[in-house]
Amino acid sequence: MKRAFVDCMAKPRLSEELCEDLRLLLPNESEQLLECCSRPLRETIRVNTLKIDKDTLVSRLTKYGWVLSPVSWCDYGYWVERSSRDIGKTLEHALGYYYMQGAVSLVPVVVLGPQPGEKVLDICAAPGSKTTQMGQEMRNTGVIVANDSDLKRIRALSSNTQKCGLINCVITLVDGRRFPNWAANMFDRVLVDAPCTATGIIRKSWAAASNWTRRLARKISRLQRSLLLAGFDCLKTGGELVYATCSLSPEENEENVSELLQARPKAELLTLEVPGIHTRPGVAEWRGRRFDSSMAKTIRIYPHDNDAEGFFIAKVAKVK
Amino acid sequence: MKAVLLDAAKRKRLQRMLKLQYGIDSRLPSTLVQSGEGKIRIATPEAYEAAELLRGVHSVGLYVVKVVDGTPVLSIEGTHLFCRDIRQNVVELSHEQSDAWMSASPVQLKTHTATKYVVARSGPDCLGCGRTSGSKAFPYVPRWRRIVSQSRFEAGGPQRKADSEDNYI
Repeated sequence: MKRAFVDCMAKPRLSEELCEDLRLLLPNESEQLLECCSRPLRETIRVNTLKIDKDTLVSRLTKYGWVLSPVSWCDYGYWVERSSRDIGKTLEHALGYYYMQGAVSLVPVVVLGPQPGEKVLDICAAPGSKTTQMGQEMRNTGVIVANDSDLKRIRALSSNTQKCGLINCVITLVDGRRFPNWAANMFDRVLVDAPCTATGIIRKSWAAASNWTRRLARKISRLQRSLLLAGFDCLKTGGELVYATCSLSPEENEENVSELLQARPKAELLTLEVPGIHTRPGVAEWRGRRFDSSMAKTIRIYPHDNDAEGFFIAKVAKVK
Repeated sequence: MKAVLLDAAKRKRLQRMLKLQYGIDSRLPSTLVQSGEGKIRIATPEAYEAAELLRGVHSVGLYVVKVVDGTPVLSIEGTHLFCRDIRQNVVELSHEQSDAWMSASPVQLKTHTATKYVVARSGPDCLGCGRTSGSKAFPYVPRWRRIVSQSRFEAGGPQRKADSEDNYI
């Protein structure tokens, strides 16, 4: 045990509690995971097909000397293998022809599959990566209600929806937990991309990993659960919800989905299959607590499985 | 924010102003929303209907044009939407000039122009409007959207505030 702590304390360091949890979660692979997290995250872009087609953009960026390769699980995502300049400082980026977005962060919208003409709610939308991705999936039709409770983050959301050219977006600034008071049973699809302790993206910010505590995870888990219930209550019967976090902690993931299944009898977990990406089923048990047996239908994406970010994703339908 | 639909008379006036200033004669989309300070946004009918039912609405649709002293000034997205239909008061920029434009640096025009506002175009890209003064055009590019040159960035010069996308995930 002591040796394990020594490894975890190597720079960049993780909190002791997080270290313990990761070892419990992945007993034989925690070193691989930590090694992967010590490397910088590979850059990816999403082509904004509302403004430019894929081939035209790739050809323009290739002329600058960029080397791009397709992301296998999203047909408008590209790994930036080599770039001649900072990828956020090009004319194409300023014009909103592409958006810098983590490769695995593309998956929740792919799984949700919003269709043109639908009514969709993104209950924790800022800064707008997934909102703008949904906008292009919906071909700028129907409506996306993009909500966040923080004014500073709303400004970022507003800038990004503007830059990406979304005409089907309504931005609201309210506490997402209150949404069912006026929007119950209103939406065809809901995305709950909940705020989390971000342990799946420690490659981007080690601060989260070094300050992580179980207490913090518990606290944020309560907020996530309320948002998940609120999001579900806003779904029409027959509608579908995706719950996603960039955290690896079962308290923030399987435990919340399990609570939803208990609290809402109309909630039914759907099986997820995402071709092209390495995923694993959700955990059935955590620290002595057994979850609903259908939890294997959810997916966990670990950073070292795809050399990208870590995510948890669950898809729930509202049945009659 | 209260989203108010543009009435028929204002709509007609806007259409006329766009034709006069930029030669745009394509029909405007059906749902145009007024959002204060003369700003006009385009939305889908469903987005407008949803906004009527919701609380805490911050914005609806896409900001496309602002009317300033009776002249329409298109946003970058506004020029992108109407790019093919814009026929007059257009300045053609080289690739280098486009980079300068998106950094909000003034661009030297080939000739003096009498009009107050011009649209910048570079090949297939429409880069928004700028105000002219003599033989220079001063681009309207929001601060958050400007390209900060690599050399200034590397030299530790003034950097733009962290772009919203820097928080992506």
